[in-house]
Amino acid sequence: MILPKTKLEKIEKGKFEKIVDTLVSSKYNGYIKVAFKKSELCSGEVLFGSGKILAAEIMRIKSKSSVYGDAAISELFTLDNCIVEIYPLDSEQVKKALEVNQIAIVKVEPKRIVEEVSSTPDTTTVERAQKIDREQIMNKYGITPPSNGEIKKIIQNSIGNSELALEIEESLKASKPTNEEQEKILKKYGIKKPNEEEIEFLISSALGAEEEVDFNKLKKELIELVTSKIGKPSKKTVSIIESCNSYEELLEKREELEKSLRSLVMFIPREKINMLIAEIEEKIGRKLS
Amino acid sequence: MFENIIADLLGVSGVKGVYIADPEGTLIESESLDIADDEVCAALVADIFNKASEVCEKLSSDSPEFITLEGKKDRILVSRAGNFILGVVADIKTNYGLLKIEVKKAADKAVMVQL
Repeated sequence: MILPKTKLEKIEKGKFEKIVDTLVSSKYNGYIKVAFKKSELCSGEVLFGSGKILAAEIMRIKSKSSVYGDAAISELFTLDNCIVEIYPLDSEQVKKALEVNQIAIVKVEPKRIVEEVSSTPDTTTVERAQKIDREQIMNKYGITPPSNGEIKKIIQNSIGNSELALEIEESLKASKPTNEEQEKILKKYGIKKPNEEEIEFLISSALGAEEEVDFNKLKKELIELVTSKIGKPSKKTVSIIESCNSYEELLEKREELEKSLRSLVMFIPREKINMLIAEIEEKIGRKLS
Repeated sequence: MFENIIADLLGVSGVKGVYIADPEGTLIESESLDIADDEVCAALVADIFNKASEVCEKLSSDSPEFITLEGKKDRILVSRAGNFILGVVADIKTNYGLLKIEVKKAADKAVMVQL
């Protein structure tokens, strides 16, 4: 863009979108300059007129090509960490600059461009929009949402005593035993409620059974992890892992595994060993000690 | 960090490379159009500045702000830019006055960026 040379007012660092937001809210008159390196070094300029984005251009320095207008501003809005130079202009200078740079005029609102850049709207944004619409309609016509009891009544009234209604009732009873019924059953068969530790054990043993199928894969991954992180000194640790034939065996030898790793503290920094142990724990789903 | 400065200087016609290095010669940021090894160039730019500092110190117990080195084909401009050293390699036919102003501006901007 052809812009008048004025004195640099200030330099801002941070997310481009945020910096632009502050300029928009302060109804800024002037232009900003930002440079960034993606595939090659690029220099971008955006012209503001009383807080509105009027024109934008991105110049690719090496290839000496330019992108103008909406395409330029949408690319600039993807910048995360950048340094923006802010140059002030008076309203007449802005007017002239806009006349000269007709090619770079931005037509679409920047916010809309950002949404376009982030591809198609995801389900959550669609849901949010629908929810807002619903709320607006309800407020407009003074409708209050029905309670759960009311909904149940409406359903019962509509299906009456038909076979479907009976079936639904039965299935509800079967699927949801009350607390009293549950306790009765537990008493009858002498079952105690499991405590937290037992639940944890049950989950881990269940996971263990699942892992057994892929144990060889896990073993391979662990060996690769250890050798890649600590190289040659990992010989002992690797031999421990290799000696395991099942997930349970690996769990039994986990303390031995940790000891062998910790003994390498003479050669490898403690932090690195701790990180490796944490990664192994994450892989096997259990603490080593 | 210094993309703005480098982009501005490369925008001056005839500029072939811009290098920002620390006083030890380590490359901080650079961009060149047809010069090969940026790290070597950055180290050489720092070397020019350090040698000039030595000479300046011995001759007039002063420190250099701006150094120009002219060859047959190219002109090398070196300037202090805050804690760093800014070097520009440009064609000898490049408008020297304009280039000098741009390099000085860039050095001032580099100081602002470092704040």
